[in-house]
Amino acid sequence: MIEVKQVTKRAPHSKAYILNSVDCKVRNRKIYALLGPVGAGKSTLMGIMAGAWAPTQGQVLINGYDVNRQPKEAKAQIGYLPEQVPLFLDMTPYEYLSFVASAKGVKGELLHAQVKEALAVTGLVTREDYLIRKLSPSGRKCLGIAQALLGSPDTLLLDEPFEGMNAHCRNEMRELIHRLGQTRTVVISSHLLSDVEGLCEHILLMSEGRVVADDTPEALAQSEISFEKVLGAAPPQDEVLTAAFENEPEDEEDAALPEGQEREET
Amino acid sequence: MGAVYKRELKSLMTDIYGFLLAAVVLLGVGMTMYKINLYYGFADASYNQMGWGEYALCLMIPLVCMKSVTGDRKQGTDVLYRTLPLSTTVVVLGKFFALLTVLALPIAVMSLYPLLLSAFGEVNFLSAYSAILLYFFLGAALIALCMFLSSLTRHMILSAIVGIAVCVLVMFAPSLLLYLPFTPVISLVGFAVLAALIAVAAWLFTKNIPATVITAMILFIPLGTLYVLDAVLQWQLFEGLLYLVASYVSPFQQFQNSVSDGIFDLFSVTVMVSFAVFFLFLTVRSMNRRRLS
Repeated sequence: MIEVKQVTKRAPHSKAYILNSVDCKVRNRKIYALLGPVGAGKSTLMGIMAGAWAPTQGQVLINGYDVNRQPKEAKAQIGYLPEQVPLFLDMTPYEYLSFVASAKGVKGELLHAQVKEALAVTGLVTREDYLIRKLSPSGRKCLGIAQALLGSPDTLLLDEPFEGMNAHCRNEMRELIHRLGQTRTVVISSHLLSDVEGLCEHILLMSEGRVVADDTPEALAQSEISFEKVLGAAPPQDEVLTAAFENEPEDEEDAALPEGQEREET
Repeated sequence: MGAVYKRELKSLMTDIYGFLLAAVVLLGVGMTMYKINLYYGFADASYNQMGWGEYALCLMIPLVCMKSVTGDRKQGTDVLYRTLPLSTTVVVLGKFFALLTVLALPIAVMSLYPLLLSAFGEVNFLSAYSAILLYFFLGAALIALCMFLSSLTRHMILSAIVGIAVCVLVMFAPSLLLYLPFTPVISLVGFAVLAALIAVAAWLFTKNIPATVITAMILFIPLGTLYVLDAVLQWQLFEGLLYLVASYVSPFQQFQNSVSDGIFDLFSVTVMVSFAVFFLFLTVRSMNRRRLS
């Protein structure tokens, strides 16, 4: 369980609040959505939960361990996928995952087994010997999830896992998150309701650095809270998909081949 | 630490940086070797690391530190390190030892030079290998300094330029101070500037006004009191003190003194190791501070 207690985060060079006295709980074995418009503080809250950033005030407990006071114990309980996937482009997925597993204290045969399992779960087995720089954006996202799975954490924090993906990859990612949610607690952040609809069992709705609603999707749908008002006018689904397709190739190498097709290793 | 060490070493050795460091250091030392051993015909290998070898370290160590420390920040992989169950000290030491290993490669090649030269004349092996070992310690001190400087910025080019400039400044500081008068006032001004810089650093690291004021008071009050006592009681403590301290603290000066004397001076080694430990500590603080930003 994750307990966020009165967490406040202020911008480094101003007195503006990024997070303002955020209180919430994430219970075990459920899929949570951290939903809010761009700039609501979702990524900052995720980063604070994962220990990437320290809060200005307040505390985060992961299964009873304080992320700031007992970082080693707390971080061992979570797997974190940041919005910008932290990858070493000069490694292969297998090497990268072996490094992360080793840093998480997994050793020997168990390391090999966990890396192979993470590659299998995320569909990267056929690409385990490619250089990471040759992977497509969605491949990189899957690798980011694979590294989060290592060390068998109870909780996965996935920051914008659908960002930059085309419709096909989004569906695959939804299926993957659904499967992961059956055995773990998963928290996903998104600014699009369509990304989390039908996937999450609980929604934490954020706006301007605060959690403004904390309930099941069904209860929120019947409440007075308007998603459109909090999230802003959502673009029609066709536009979202078109934008996603346009965003897919991030560089020339990625544009060279469509998703799923094998790439030559250099 | 083993995981970080292996990862960093692999990264440095699969990229051009590790080999470039080895090549430039061997070129620098080779140029001096050509001049002393081949051109002038002396078989003594003790002085090969001085001069061009030192310039090579000043040029290349900031570049490899830029790749190792600033590169992480640029790629966003520093976030990965912060969210893994590893302490910042472990990450910094892993990177430091990986960089030391890369530096050890040209040092290992250099270790063959005295043996080769012994075929052409009498070589003092003790002083030759002392010089090589001291050169390694000098490199370790500079790696720690440049890791700290690289941890301050996310701009790789800026990190390299500042690193080179600071290394050159540290190298020439004692020589430059010789041009200043050895008067007590000059020493006082020099130490006051240093104290002010430390107070500014304390502010940047802590953003805490009482901590900054206390740091400034701890530095300025004893300095002022000592200066007044020195002037009243005519101890002549402050005369040339700035140069004296700079030459004691500078790892380059310690390296040059030891090599010139042909000895493995433990005091010099202690200064260089302390220099490295101090800047590694600051690197850890600097990286931890980023979590708070």
